[in-house]
Amino acid sequence: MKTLSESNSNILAVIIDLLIPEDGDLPPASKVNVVEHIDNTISHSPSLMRLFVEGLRDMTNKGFIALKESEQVNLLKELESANKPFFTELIRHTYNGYYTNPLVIKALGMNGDPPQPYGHELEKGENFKFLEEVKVRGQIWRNPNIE
Amino acid sequence: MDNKNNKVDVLVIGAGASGAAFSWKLAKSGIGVMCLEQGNWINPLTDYSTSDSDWEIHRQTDFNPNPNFRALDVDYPINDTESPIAPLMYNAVGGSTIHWSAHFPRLKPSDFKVKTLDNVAADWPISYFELEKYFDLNDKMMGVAGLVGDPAYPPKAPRQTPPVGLGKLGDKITYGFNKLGWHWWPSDSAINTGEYDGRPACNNCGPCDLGCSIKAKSSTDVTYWPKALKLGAQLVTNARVREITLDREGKAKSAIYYDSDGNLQEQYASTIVLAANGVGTPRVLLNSISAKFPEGLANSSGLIGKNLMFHPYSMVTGIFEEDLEGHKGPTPLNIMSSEFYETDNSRDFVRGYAYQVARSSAPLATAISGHVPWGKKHHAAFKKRFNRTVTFAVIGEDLPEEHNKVSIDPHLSDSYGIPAPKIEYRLSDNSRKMLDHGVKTATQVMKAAGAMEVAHDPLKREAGWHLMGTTKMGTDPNNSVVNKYGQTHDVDNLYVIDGSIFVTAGAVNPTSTIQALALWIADFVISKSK
Repeated sequence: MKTLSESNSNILAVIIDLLIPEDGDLPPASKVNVVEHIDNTISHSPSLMRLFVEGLRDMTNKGFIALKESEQVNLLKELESANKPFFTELIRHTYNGYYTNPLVIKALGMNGDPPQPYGHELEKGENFKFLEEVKVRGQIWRNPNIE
Repeated sequence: MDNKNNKVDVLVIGAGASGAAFSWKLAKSGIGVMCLEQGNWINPLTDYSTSDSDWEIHRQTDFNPNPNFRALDVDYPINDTESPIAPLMYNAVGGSTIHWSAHFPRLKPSDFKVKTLDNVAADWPISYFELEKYFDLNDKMMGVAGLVGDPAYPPKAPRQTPPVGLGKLGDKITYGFNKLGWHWWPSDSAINTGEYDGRPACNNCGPCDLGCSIKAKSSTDVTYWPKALKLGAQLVTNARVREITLDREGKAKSAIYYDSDGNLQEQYASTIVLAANGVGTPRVLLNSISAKFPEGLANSSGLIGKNLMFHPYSMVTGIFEEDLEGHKGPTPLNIMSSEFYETDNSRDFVRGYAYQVARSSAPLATAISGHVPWGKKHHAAFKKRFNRTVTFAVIGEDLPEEHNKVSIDPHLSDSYGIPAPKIEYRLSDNSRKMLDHGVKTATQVMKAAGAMEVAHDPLKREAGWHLMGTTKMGTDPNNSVVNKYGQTHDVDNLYVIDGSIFVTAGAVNPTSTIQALALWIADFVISKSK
């Protein structure tokens, strides 16, 4: 950890698992280093850091950790409209961390590699055969020299 | 100020699509040419993020197409608060071809004659057919994947490589087009699909917009520039031009720029050529104030910066039931439909639009699309979309209007204090009706193809890729800035060769036409020097 206190990291872990919970092969956000991703991201931006530290402090003051899950979800829904700047960044960086983690990418059925250097095999498809029907109509461009 | 530099024959400002083509052509004829570029070289092997696991995040940060968000040292800020469309660009050797999707359609013959045909705007003083040999030369230099025989164009020379593969998505969506009997064609793309000109074939990795590390995408840093440099062209990077000066006879004399150390330099030239895009070029001209031109250099018409045209986009997305492997292949699906391109008097708008088709988004882009909520429904919403969407970008022909403009912002400047541009733009009634029509017809194609759901964004904000019209070409010096050779009416050794000179915008991506014009103008400059 670089930036967040242990208590803020703990509360963040609970929050992000409510944002992206476990689902079959897909892990909850806290299990794929999303807290660490957010910590690292905000360490490079004083304004983001302030937004997160203050936002998490507010949740701590509201006793977030001790609430039942349904109450925690309600509190997050409140936060979504009450502190839009924080919530927008919270969602963005949670999704950023989750959907760039190779374990998640593999769980989505991909091989987990970034686009390069291997690229992808692209199935050719049948579509070029369908062009015969397009050609049958003949010229559709407008020739200004003969109008 | 340092006056150490010698005078060059021709000085080009901007090393993007047009500056690269023009510099190559001049160097090939033995003319001394120097290009000033405010950005740097990019090393495709090390500077792109597509080999990193966090590659998608770079779209939000250092590879954001919007310079205001990217905010790198080489960028200048743009006040776009009075425009519903944000101008996008990249500053580097290669310019915006670094981050483009490499769509390479030409404007069509009718696009050059809209006044004659449809009694709107103005005709171009040049025709498609006059430009044809320059389109062909440029295609060879850039390397174009495509298929001849498109009934929406006059016949073209064979393409350099076969069309980009369309995959399962292609089968799905072309079925929809054919069911309606509507036009579609594999669009020309400046992407190698086989080895060409010493560069490899595309490996279908996906995100063209984040730069091509294997050089299969034809950005001008890997096409024109290596050849131009070998022929003797000079390229100065990190050279940020503040203004162009005049001599006593009223001819362009020099460009004053900040070098990489922040020192002012003055480069003299016999001819000066602007290639800094539809926002950057009027910015330089409007910042070049003199007693002869108090309202900006070569601005006796008062039109510099005016008539700004974007291509306004509506986005229509269909969701399909089956996995279409939509993350594989270049992000643009490389299909273009010209069904509604030409004017039809039965419609409530004049001129027309095209669709460009895009594949599905990668995982993070899918998640942050605004359609995937947090909480218990998150994964189901994600799975419903991932690899299962096809998007039509409805690209409309925006007509020129003087109130849509680039001016100099009185309060904003770049990191060297050079005044920055401001954009004022309103979407016209004609463009709105055109896009609404496009949304309806695109929805019909999606449904014919079997989409379960179709949604749309009526006007995409982060879509100002095409910057045109701000130093309009024409024959009348009172009503245009440059003549058919890009030469300013006011200063005969000052030229503009980028999208600023477009008279009208057509409804296709402009780069192929921008470069053909640059080569055409280069031939004129060469002929004058003999």
